[in-house]
Amino acid sequence: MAEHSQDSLSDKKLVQLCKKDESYKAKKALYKRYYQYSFSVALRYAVSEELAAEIVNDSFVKLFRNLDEFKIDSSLRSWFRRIIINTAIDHYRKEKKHLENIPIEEPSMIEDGYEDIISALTVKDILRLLEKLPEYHRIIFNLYEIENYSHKEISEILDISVGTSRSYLSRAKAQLQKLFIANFGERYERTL
Amino acid sequence: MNEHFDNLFADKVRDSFNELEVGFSESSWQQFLLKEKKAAKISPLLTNRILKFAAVFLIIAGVGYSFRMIVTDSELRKTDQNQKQIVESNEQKNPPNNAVTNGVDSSEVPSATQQFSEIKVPSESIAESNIDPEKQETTSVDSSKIETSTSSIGFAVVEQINFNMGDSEGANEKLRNKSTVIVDGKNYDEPMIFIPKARKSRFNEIEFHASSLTNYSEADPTSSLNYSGGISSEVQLTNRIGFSSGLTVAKQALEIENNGLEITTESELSETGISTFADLVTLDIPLNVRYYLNQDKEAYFSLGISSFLYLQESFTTTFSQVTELTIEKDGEQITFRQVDEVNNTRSEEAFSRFDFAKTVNVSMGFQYSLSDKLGLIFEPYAKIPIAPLTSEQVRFGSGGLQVRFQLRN
Repeated sequence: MAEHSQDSLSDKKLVQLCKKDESYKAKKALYKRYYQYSFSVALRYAVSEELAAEIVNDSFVKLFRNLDEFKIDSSLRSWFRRIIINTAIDHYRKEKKHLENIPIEEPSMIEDGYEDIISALTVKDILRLLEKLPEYHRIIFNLYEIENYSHKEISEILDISVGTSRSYLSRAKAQLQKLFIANFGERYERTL
Repeated sequence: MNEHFDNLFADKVRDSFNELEVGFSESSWQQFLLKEKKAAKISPLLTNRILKFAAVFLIIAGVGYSFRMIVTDSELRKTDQNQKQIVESNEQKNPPNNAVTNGVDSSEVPSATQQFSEIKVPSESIAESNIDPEKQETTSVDSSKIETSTSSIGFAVVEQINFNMGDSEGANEKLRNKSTVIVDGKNYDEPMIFIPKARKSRFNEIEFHASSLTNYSEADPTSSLNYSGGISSEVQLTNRIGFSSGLTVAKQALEIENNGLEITTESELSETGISTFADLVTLDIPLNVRYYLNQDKEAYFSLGISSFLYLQESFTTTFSQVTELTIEKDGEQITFRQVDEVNNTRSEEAFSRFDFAKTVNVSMGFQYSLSDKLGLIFEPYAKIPIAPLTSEQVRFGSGGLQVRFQLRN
């Protein structure tokens, strides 16, 4: 019963309760509220559901441990989003210390008629494409195209040069187009 | 053209993931709790717990020691005053001793390490000033008539000796035996020597206790029967007030959460009837003040707080997981629903959590003397939670009947 009442509380109130360490119920309510959101962000970076779940839990640990640093009047969602992204990047830093040397993709010639196919893509379809991207390409694609980070910000986060960031993004896009044709070419040809 | 594709694809990725529906599951929460605990082990929070525990230990030790010192010092002061009063009255009764005192060179006041026989006594000056009141007019005294010259020292010396001798009852006994003054063949009253009592500990009671108890929480109104046992000691502050502390190990098991039946039909996987049971072994560190209702200490009222260390902290969450499976057969969709009961147990490491001052203790004690040294106390009690306990942060209390076996000094 108490947990249901926690569900109706605002983010601000839940954060205050969590800060006071009054109850795990407040933490659980916050966890429940942001689980889906955090999973959707983490999945774009992790591709696999298992790794995404791990990133989500690591992010929540960081969230609860650093709640004192959170400015209560700012957006919890935006702050948490940054935590998730940083956690996802940390995962890759642990796994891979160096950027992969991927050959530059030949630009693919994509014709009209792909709009319908793109709009029909499911999350699983997108994941199929993203998982085939080299890890750093995927991270940079996500950071630049989805999170709207600048190349300068990306270079600082990943400790690479701005030029490298640009270069990796171009390669990622080229690869995605190629992968799109390779995976959904059949549908593409049909629509053409 | 390619740029258009890129933008369109990026928008699709953003929208798809934002609309992604991932249901919260109890198991993911349990995994999070495990991860958080692991992280906490290496976090500064652990240091905080150690500091809290150290704080409680220092409070108990400090308060106990302070009270002991206050009580002993006030006792010494009282004894000192009483003895001085007696000495003063004796001085009036025994002027010769007073005269002896005047004859002693203060520079020769012996130290505590000196043997009593080594104490130098200026017998001549003693003799000169040692005047029997009955012979006030006689101005000279034959020093050869002082039989125990070495022990006929004045009060100033004796007092000094006793202060330096401290608590040695044996030394005091020696002094007492050698303090007879005979002048002119006449025995004067043995001077009253200030002999402070040896410092007596006010930790004069040790109690072993055992109790049966019931726990109660919002989710467990029926509760289950548990038990505890431990040791405690009491410091007497005044005749009626005492301070008690100790250690109690308690086995506690109770249901701490029950969400009832809650079916979610929207997702393929849903969890119903979630309930969590806690199995705990706690180390209770109480700080209580006892107020005795009468001088005979037959009954008392006790009020205090308790802090807890957890020797065992185990939580079992039970829920039913409903899985729906839809298959298509001969163009017809058939849905199967499978219900599995899932038990998820999470345990914390011993001593990984310390709850400081989380319950208020209230009790009444009824004391029966078995002998001078033994007593039996029946103490109904309740522990009322003032803040959430355990790593699950649950408010639960306990109550029961404690039987205390008392050993007195």
